[in-house]
Amino acid sequence: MSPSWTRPNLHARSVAIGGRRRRPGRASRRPVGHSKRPVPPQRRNTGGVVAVDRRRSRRRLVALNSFGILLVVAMMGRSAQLQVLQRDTLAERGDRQRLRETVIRAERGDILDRFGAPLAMSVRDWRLIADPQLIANPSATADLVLAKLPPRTVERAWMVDKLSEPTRYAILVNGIDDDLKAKIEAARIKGVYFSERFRRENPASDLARSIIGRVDTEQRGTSGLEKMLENELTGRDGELISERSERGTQIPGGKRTLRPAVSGRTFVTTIDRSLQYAVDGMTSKGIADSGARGGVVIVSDVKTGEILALSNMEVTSDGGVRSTGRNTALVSVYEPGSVNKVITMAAAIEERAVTPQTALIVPDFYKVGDHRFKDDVGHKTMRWTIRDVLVNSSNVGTIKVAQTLTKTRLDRYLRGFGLGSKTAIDFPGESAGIMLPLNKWTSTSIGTVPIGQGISVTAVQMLSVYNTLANGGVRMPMRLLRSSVDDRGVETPVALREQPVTVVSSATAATMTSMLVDVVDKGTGRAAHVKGYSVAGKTGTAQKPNERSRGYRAGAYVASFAGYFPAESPRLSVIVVLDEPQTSIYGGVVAAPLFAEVARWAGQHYRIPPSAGSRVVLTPDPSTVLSAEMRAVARTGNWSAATIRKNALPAAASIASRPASAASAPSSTVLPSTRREPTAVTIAPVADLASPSTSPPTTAAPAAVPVASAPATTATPRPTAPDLARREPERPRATVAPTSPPSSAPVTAAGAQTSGESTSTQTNVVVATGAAVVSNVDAPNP
Amino acid sequence: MLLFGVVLIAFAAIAMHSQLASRQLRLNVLRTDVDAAEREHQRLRLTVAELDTPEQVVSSAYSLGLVGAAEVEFLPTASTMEPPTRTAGPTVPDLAGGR
Repeated sequence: MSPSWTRPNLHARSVAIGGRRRRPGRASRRPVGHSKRPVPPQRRNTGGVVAVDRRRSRRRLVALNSFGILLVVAMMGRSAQLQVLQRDTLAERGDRQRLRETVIRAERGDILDRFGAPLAMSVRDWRLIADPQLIANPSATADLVLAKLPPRTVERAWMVDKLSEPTRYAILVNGIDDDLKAKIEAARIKGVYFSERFRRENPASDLARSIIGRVDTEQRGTSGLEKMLENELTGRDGELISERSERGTQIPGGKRTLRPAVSGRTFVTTIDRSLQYAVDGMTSKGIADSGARGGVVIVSDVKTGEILALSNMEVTSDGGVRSTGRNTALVSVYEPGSVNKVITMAAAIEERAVTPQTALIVPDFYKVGDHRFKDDVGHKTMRWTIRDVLVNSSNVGTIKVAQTLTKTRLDRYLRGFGLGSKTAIDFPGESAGIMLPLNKWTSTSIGTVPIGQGISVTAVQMLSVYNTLANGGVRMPMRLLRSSVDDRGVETPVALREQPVTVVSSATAATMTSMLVDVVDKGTGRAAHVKGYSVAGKTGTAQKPNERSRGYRAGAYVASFAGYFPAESPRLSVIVVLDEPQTSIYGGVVAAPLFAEVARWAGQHYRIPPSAGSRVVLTPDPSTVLSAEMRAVARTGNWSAATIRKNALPAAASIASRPASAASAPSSTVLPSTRREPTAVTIAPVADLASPSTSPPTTAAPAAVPVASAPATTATPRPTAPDLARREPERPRATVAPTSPPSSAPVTAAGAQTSGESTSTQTNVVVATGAAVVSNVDAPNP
Repeated sequence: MLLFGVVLIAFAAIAMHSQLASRQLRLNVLRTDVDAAEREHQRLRLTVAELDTPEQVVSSAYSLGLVGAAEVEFLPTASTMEPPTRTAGPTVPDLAGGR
């Protein structure tokens, strides 16, 4: 046995290459004698070692190559997996990391008055928000924020509470401008951010609030035109997709896709802001003077049906008078009373059942069915013409006229004039009024309906009746909107929702106008006379029905007056409705003077020429100033164009308009030399309603009786974020609601959008039929 | 020569890219400025609208000592005595610049 066989295998390490590696310094467990392949002694020379190394190197090379190939294959496989199989998924994931989508809010369209003055508009500003989950120390964060805000913007405790809420979104302050935003951003307060928002503003405060309506905090219309035009005003949001870096900055040359926002349409209403303001002032004065609970005054253009001013006022709990949030003139109904008699008369004349000269025997009471109707002022049995019946507002005479018509024809005319159906305005919550179907008329209905009891109308419906008579018997649809403007500035007229309807002939309309002029000249409506104009109109005094039972409430009346002017060529119509006046219940006493005031102002505002003829007279002694021809004019009151052209200039300073009845007695009140008060002289050209005087005449002075200020109320059940844009300078905002400016509605701390105003979806329905006693009265002029 | 050309092209590409980045940043700044200017425009428009309201005008007039006339007289002229004629209808208000 060779001792070399017992020596340790010096090449054990080399042999192990490619196989299992053994630990160095550790003997093989396998006895040498049991080696499978004992190394022959001759292989231990040099040449044998080289041969073995080459084989080993080749093996290593093969292994290495194989490994490399496998690696390349694996990489290619992985690459194919990433770039082919998972391509879309990974590309999308990459886009998500780089691309940011930003919503571009569409601006809500404006609401303008008829001359383009904004009544409602949107303004962009910033809202300070916080993510309380990212704020470790709410107190410290609140201190940091408060240090940047104007003093007393919010209370510290309130802000700490907001920053401690278990939410990820807390609104801290609204209405922040760019400067303040920059200051707060510079402080780098963790968890505090800004978001851009639009806020809705009514520059004219409460003006036409009941028409314009409100929006909520999400800028959605909740009442009025804001609700009615919601879809058109809203517009379409845009979107910006761009590649952004980790810090949020746009990557130069990166992807950028912009879909611009489309602003909502702007709407031009028929409202005249100046007239609206004046009418608001006069209405509040009229309500205060009469002690009424509230009132409605509407002015419209008789030719187009456009509503120029619409004032809804009510008495507040503190005794002030303020604009209502709800559009009473359209959503509330009332029994019209005697103003409704024009329909009965017009129908009878149109149907040739009577003429203005037809004589009737009129006692002061009359039984219809089982009820007894009476005239308000007791009188002997009279022989009155139809004209006299209207001038004296006789209930008995009107009922007799209606009986000649029959209920079928009366109902047809009532509906033909627009009662019982909504107007073309289609205002949110608008009432159609209440008209009983013919088959539900009782035996007394032919007594109640002709005199305006037992039916209910809206104020706008009743004004439309007078517009129809003023417009030659053609009922023009009432309108609140003139046109709309898209975001490119293209203006489109708002189409009429209804077509004009001829209700009565122009001859009947003219006859009715002459009768209504008599009502103002010598009947119950004398207080509605407007100096310089011939006015056609009718008074109305109606009982208010019980809301929970049959019959009428004792002592509760609605006083009204509706009319138009100048009677010979009507331009404007006005209706005044006063709810439960206290100083007098009669429309001729409380509503007619308010009508006159509004008509005088409106006529002057639109520069409507005074009525020609007997109503324009000379006041100084004609013999000293005027030619013979002018003296003749002074005597007769008849003007001709030739006379005016010849004499206008020398006579101009001494001419005043005065009722014909005063023609013979020159009035000292119109002589400038004897008057102490300053006199504004207005030359009256023929003007269109679209071009009134650029500035309201200073005689309006509605501010003398301003709309009473609304009390500052806290209408919010829980504190909301203060709004710096609406901030009173020195008031804490968090828990105390801000006071609104005079004549504005109470608003919450979050702004007007969240005010407690009810939406205009309610309708007051007050009507009584078959009342036991009907006393529909008009008082003679006091 | 080829190497020089490659280097030149590389430098040109880098310069162009940096110029692009610079312009992009400038564009972003301008966009922000436009945004701010629009907000300011809206704010000023609101201020003008508030100052232009009848309530404000009347209040200012009274504070300046103006009073309402006690009496207003209409003086007939040639035009007022002719039969009233309506024009083509209300003109559309000029909305240019209204928004």
